[in-house]
Amino acid sequence: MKALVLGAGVSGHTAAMYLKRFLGKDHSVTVMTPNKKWNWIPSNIWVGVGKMTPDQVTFDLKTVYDKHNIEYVTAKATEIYPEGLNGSKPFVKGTSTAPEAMGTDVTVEYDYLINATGPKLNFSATPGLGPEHGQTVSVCTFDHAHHANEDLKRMIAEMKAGAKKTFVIGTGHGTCTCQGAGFEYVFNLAFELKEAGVRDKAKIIYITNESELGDFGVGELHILHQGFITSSKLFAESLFAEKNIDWITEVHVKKIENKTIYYEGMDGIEQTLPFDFSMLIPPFSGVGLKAFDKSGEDITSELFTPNGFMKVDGKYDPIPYEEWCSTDWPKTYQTKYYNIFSIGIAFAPPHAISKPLKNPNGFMIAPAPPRTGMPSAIMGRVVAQSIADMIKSNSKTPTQRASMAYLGAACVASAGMSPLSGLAASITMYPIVPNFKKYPGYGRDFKYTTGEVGLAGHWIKQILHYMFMYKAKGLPFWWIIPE
Amino acid sequence: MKKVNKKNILIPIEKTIAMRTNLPWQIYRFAVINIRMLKMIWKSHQTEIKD
Repeated sequence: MKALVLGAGVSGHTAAMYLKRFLGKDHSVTVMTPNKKWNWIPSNIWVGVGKMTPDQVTFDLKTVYDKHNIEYVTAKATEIYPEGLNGSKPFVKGTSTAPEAMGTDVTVEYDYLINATGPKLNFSATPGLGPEHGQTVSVCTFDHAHHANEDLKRMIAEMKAGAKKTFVIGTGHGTCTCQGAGFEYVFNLAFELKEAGVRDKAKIIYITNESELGDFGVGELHILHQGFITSSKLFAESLFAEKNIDWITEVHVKKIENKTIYYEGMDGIEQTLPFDFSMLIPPFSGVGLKAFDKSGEDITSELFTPNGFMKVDGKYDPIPYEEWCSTDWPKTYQTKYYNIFSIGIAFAPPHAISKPLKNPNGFMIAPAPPRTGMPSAIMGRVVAQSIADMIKSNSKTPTQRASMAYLGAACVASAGMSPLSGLAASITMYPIVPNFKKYPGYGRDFKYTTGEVGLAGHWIKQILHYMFMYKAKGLPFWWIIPE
Repeated sequence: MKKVNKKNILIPIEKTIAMRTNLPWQIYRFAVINIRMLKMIWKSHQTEIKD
């Protein structure tokens, strides 16, 4: 049998490594990805403030795949033929990104397919957003983060010469996810500016589509703290106030022009925010894969939602917020085709987790649900195990589940990198998608939903960096390290 | 855009801020947080479909 994995990010790479481990030499595993390097994205924050180099957060995929006998195709997948074409086996078509064959068509047949293509960073959703065609920087890729650091160093040099600067960090659209990256970057930025001795010359503003600070796209958290049920909003606001960072919540960024952010809140009134340096996270969409049936008919809408994410075993009928239920969320990540799965950011969530809002001018202010990091990696392992079991038992039924309604997440949000004075917020939550029937009132289990700020969190964040780089490189006993 | 009354915000006292980087206390918290995370990770790794 031949298993094909599209994408080699946290989810896809984990799936490919476990597939090979579970299937052994009797079956082949192929990875198709346009990228040459694997990137531990959480540490891009530190690249973005100059504390790490791109080489410290990446490695060459080919070396690892050669060592583990995983076939590696350097190409961007564009079309899926789940039924084959005119009697052929199912296959995926792509465009080569290898220097020697750049732009040529590539076709790879498969028996099982995992779509882990991740997101398209949709900078074009907001005019003026992004480092390539816009006026803001990003930390979504190691290249972007490196560029952000170069801009930051320039700002610091000007501030040392006496200039005052305004920094705006946050989300660049009303439907963004990954607020945690904005949260981490704004605190690391404040930390770096303080270390450089120019914090007094910087005004720092955090702008976000979250209804409140500490929402993180998961409808905020509640933890038990000294006998009180306390919301993540209180902790987040406390940290922002302590570090003298202003914040603007519940807004949609409309455009960026002449180093000015134009945004609207729920009152529908346009406001402006001039800046000297801005790091805004873009909204995500699917990568634009198309699907065709055995006669060549376009069936993209059967397999993908309009924004390009792949439909799996979730409930996709539109339902109002009041009727959302944790059982709406996919469990096995199997699509309508028994041999196609989709994981990580590539699968279509049934709906958001935070309450979606629409302002009087029709702009959605609706944080998309996060599905990066720990849940992404667990999905990779679980789907790999299911496929291996299905192949070995000649079954069409998955054996594993990883619903976000049953998964927890550990999130260590850096707030400054230093071995003795660094800080991080260590957050655990269970489950990610609140279950108000099982956990009335707050939707999560207080035993597993916790949070605190301190130096210990920074140590954990740093250790996690080395641990996950080790695991992803497939070094001895890599599989012992949990996702 | 929401207006925030910053008078209602919790502000940590000096001792709280100092404890965040107090080495003995943070070594203890390091152990506690790791145990907490491992328990949650173990719970999240129960993925086999039994029904």
